[in-house]
Amino acid sequence: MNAQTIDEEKEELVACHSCDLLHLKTPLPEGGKAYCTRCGELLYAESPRAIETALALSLSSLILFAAAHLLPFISIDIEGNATTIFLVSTIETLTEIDSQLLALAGIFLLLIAPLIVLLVDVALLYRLRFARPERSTVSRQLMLLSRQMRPGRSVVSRQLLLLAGHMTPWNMLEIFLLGVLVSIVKLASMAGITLHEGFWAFVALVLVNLIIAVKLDSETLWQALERLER
Amino acid sequence: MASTGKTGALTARNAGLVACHVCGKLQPWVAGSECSRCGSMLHQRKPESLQRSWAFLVSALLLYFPANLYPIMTTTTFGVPENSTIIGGVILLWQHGSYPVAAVVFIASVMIPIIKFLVIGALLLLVRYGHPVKLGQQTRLFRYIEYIGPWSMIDVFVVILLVALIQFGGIASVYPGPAAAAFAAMVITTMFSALFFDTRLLWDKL
Repeated sequence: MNAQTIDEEKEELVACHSCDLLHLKTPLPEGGKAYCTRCGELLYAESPRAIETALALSLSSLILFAAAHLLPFISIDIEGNATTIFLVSTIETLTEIDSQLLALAGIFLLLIAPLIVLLVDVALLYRLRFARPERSTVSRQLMLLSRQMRPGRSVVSRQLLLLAGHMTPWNMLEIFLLGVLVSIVKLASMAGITLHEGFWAFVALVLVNLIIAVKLDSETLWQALERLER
Repeated sequence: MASTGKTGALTARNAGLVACHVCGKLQPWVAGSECSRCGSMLHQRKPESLQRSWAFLVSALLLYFPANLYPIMTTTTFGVPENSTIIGGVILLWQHGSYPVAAVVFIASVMIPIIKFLVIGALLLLVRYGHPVKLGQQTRLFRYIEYIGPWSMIDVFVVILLVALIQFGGIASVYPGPAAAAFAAMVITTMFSALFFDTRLLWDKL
């Protein structure tokens, strides 16, 4: 048995990441999902045109992310004293009153982690969707060079995908949204609250991110990257 | 060649294969080698899983006390400061008749951390001392608590938002209390505890 056939056989096997049981891969219908027979964990899913759909969604997500941060978020009115805040005002205020730990948590969970995941998604999906075998001379030379260092892999894409994978658990936008709703209820009895465009962009952002999470798993991205570099 | 153990179930490990922890790629197991797809170090099971998971769980448990005993925020109205703890906030919401929101905050801030401590602690003990029964339920339980864990962060976000919104100097202003950072740290440490736990250790006892 040569290395090639071992490699082909492995393509048809999948190990459950919850209990390590090996399964033989079977073709799924469109939108179908395969679960582990022993512990019930999701093994793999067949989502047709996942790359195209996710690219469109993550571009919308990026625009909404910008809108949520650049447009006014929420206004409060307590007995005639009114103020309007932006999303970034939360971090600003925390820094002003010397709550550095909370400011750091806020910056990381609400800005850095979601933005990294989003930017990597857009960049990689764009590359996977529009990659052509014939490239400009410079990028072709760069790719050949990177292949010499690590055969069959694109160093940058691989590092980006790894980075996004590490950031994913720390992306807490949807939890922040629930926090905003709880705050509104807390304030409703003592103050007038007005929601602005930034808030609605944020709601849309959370919804679009949820759809991306359903449509696109990291295995799809890794496989597409593998095919591209073969 | 491949041994299937007592139960006849063929795992990747029994077949001499390993699924990369980071990207999931299935490949032949060679000790000390790197994943052929993502370049991460290959391990059959997450390295030092039990020790790391315990360490973060104990840290989280220690943080749970300041997070609940100290005030999470201070509201100053006409120069009079008033401290409120997490439980105090829930009680206030309840008294104002916001029952669903009071319930959400109570579940997210009080119940979820306790449930998470109990479940991760129990699973860690089961890996060490337990018999392999109802492993499917144990695995599913872990997936649930891993998913709901970060939702405890709600109260921290409420504080962050209220602090930014209510800065009216003389009339009213809100400042974060020492419990806010402790609570955020507790949620983050429990998330690390769950990230380091390897459910395959439960199944290895079969």
